Amino acid sequence: MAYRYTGSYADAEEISQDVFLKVYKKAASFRQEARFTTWLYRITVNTCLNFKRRQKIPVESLDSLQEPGPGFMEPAGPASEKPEEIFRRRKKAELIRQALDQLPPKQRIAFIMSKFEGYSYDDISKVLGINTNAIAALMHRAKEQLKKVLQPYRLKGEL
Amino acid sequence: MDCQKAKLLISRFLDREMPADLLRVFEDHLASCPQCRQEAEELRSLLEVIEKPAEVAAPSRLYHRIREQLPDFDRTRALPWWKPVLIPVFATAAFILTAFVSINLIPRIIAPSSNRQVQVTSANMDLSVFNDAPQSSLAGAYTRLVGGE
Repeated sequence: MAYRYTGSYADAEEISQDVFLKVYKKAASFRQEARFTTWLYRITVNTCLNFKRRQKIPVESLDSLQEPGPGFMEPAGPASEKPEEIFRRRKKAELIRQALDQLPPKQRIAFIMSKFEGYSYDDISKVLGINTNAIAALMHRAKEQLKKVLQPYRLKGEL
Repeated sequence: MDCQKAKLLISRFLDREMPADLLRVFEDHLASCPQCRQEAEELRSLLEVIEKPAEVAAPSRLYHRIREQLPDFDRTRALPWWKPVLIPVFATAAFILTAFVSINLIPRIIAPSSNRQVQVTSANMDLSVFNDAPQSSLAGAYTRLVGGE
């Protein structure tokens, strides 16, 4: 979730670390009324929403060079993939990441949870603390925005 | 249903999140409106392009970073007060028991024949009083047997 939200491996690591520490500290306050995953997602979403990017230019630490993660979101390709196919796939992934990056935080969260994590509007509404009609509105606006950004690339055959 | 309302519902329809009462009305509109149908199809095909990104495994250094920051992450503090006391006591007792068994019992197990010899010798000594017993008697036969005759 954190990686999909930030699109940055280093930022996702920082958010994950914050989330686990918060879960550890708040474990006693977890009430059985909500599912654990909902509670965990709520903490993750709040941490993502409060997370401020430190800088636009990614700075690789020595640690991250020793144990590198993918630079941006990209679906795994087949082992026999040709270099030009890899380039095309990576470019496509980067365009999608940039388009997602332009979405306002709550729209991005709702879209990621629905499209990538497979959550229902009802589940997302519990995590974000708003009703399902508001989630439907967020999803509608997110898709309109993505369409606006990505459609020109589709028409040019780049996507 | 008019096009303006239908367009607001396309996203919900594609996510299969349409309330049952609206679904029928929306589908009826879609069947009769080529413009809305085209818009729904365009959005559907665009969303197909936005693939699910690859799963990313958390690096091992993240585990260590989290562990380092956990407050009071000291295993001995998590144990009840008596455990740190009893554990060395039990360990010492186990050591003494092992030493006792090693010194006293293991030699007997390893060399059982010599032990038997000791017992037989003592039996001989105890039975010496029967040395004068007639050879045909039970005591005489036994002392001959033990004596190896």
